[in-house]
Amino acid sequence: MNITLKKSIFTCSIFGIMFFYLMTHFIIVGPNDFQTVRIHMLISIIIIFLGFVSFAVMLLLTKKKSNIFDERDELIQKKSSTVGLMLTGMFVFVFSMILYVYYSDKGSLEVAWVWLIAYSTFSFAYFITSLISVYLYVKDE
Amino acid sequence: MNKLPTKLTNNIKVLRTKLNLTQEDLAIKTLCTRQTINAIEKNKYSPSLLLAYKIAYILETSIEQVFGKE
Repeated sequence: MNITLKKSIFTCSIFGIMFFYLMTHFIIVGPNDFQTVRIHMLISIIIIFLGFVSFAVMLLLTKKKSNIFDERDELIQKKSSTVGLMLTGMFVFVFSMILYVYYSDKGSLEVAWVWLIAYSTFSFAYFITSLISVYLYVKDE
Repeated sequence: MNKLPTKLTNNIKVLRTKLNLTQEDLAIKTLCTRQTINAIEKNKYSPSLLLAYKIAYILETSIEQVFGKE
């Protein structure tokens, strides 16, 4: 297992946990309680913070000059970034359209949804891109 | 007129075994990863021309001897 694959697995795990946690927590709590009951927002911020810290630590620990990043790694990164970008765009579009359809009769939606769209898009982009990288690496093994 | 080749094959495994080289050795010498050499050997990845030349050079042969059409 090369270092790029290890990094992809770790990134996928960190942002996967972050993404699924944010989505399930928000949906269970609901946008009103999420905004008014501060503890929910606080827990989410702690999870996001821990995610970013572990990601930064992973980047620092795996940063070595001896690490080889060859042409196949480059190709896999390019492919996963392209597909990841497309899927992230689709995710945002579908998510926004669901909210639009659901709230179109009401005429407005809770502002907490915007917070969720922002953080879930970010974590989803990292999660899906690294997941595709892992898939492409494993497929060729 | 001959048909154009659709897929490439290679003799990397045979040639490197003759020279007592492991995938890891060949990877280090060609500045790529062992996984890349493995993927090339299994015809799951087509290397760039530069990497193909490097492999041929390390295996002490010509590029045509290493890679061929199916």
